[in-house]
Amino acid sequence: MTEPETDRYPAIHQAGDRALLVGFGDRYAAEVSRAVLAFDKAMGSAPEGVVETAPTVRSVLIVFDPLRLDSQCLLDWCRSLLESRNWYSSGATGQGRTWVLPAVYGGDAGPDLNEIAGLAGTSAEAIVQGHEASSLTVLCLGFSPGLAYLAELPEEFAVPRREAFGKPVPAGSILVANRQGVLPATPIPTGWRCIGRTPVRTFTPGSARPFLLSPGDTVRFSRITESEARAFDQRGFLEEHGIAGP
Amino acid sequence: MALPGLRIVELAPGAVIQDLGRPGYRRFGVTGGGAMDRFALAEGQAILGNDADAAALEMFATGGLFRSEGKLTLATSGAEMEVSVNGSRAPWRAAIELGNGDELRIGAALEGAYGYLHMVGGMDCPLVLGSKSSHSPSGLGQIPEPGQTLRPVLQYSHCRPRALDRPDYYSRRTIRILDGPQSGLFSERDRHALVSSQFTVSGRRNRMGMRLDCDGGAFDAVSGLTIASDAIVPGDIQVSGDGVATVLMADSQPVGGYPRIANVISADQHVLAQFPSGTVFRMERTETRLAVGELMALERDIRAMATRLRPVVRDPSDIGNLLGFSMISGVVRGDEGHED
Repeated sequence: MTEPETDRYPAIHQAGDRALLVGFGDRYAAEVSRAVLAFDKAMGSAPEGVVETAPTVRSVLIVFDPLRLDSQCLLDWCRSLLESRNWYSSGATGQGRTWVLPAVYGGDAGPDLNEIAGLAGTSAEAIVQGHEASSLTVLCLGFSPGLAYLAELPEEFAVPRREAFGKPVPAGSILVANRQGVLPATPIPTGWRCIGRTPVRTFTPGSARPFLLSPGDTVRFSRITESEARAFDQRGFLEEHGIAGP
Repeated sequence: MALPGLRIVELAPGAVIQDLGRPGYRRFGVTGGGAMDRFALAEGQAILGNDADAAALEMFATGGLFRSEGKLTLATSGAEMEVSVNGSRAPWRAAIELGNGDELRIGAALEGAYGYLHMVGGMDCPLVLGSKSSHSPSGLGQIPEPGQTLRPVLQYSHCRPRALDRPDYYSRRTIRILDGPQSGLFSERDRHALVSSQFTVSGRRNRMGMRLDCDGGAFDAVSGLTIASDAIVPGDIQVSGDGVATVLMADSQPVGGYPRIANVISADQHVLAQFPSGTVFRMERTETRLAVGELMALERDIRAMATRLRPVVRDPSDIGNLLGFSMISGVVRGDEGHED
């Protein structure tokens, strides 16, 4: 794998007539993600007329209303923000909350655990321990509502995605590939490998906090048994994290 | 007595509930959604005096069969579809009054692709993340299906039956585009082919995207370059590994891994959405300043929609039972045309 190209970045582009795209790299890298999350946070002070911002693994999308905010004004504003500091040397990625999500590994919950262990030339137990020991940053959410991209996992998770999508995996599936993790909040078809499942619901449309995770949050997983997962109480979990129901 | 409503007896695939969509949740992976044709949605709101964000039934290519439970005022808008009440033809882009048990049939589109059915105050559907829009792939919002009864937010209407004339964008065959962040990844040949080729809307289309056939053959799938996923905005024209161009529409995913050669300007996205499959068209490169000017003009047209309302005029030969038809709603008073 070659080093990410950095001489063309950061770069601001017009993305259609109602969005700007601020790119920090041509692919994921830890320093690219730090820059993305720090810049996205700084966009909180964006001028009126910015409708929303959304980080990706390598860029920040800025959606605005061109009838309320001139695109050249916004472009100039973003450029001066961009030049105000070195975003790549921004502090730790964990700017948000820390979540410890209970997880059942292997078995029906994680049918690909043994395959990952085989590909990595290690034991299933070592894979689980490596996963539990990882402190993962929520890089962004995308693809489907509430689906979180997590990084970065240890070397033994450097397995490629499968070419073809399998049958849909349930919400809460713990998916891994290329040293990254994916945590879907709804059932999705996927080529990522599934090593476990959390009973925590990260997307509850009707509730006061529909999305549990935000970009920049830190996620760790903690092993539980299948019977503990069956007895899992979402409300209790939220209360432990200082979030009142429902 | 039960509240009046419209029972869905049959419904063509692709029908969904749509309003102006759910902006603001993109950072949580939620597509913006919203009506494929915002102008058409606004037509129905104007006819019934609804708020701009009232929810309507969006129908693709053909509608369905509905039965009125109680007395209802509805409106149709967007792509004109064959419409009849109890077997008698009814006007399109106009208000429709239904009595208890009346049968409303909405058939095939005569032009365009997306037609809309509106109720007074909008459809009374659950609000999910600030919108009533259905997002079928992730199950957000109410997904309409036979057996359901659609209910209006308001029980009766103060407005007189009104209609609108057909807008002229259905005959347009040029779509304007802007270069985007990844246009530079494509060869000069491909970028030229985009504005010199004829494109045909293929049958492989839905609210997520419209796959196009190109008379200039396939584009070079950006050679040897794997693109890390990046943000998608509606209107993006992506080129997949097989060199085929697809325009990503209202329900496109927030991020995607295929490179985007250009973006369809906001003011032309509803025009493109209304192309029936098989439509041949061209693309023309423009600049941001002009694109924003066109968007301003479109918004002005939408805001002024109510001033273009006219009484419903019906051809007596279309009216099966003249005696049963309220002649009052067909009378031209002469002082109409402007909403107060």
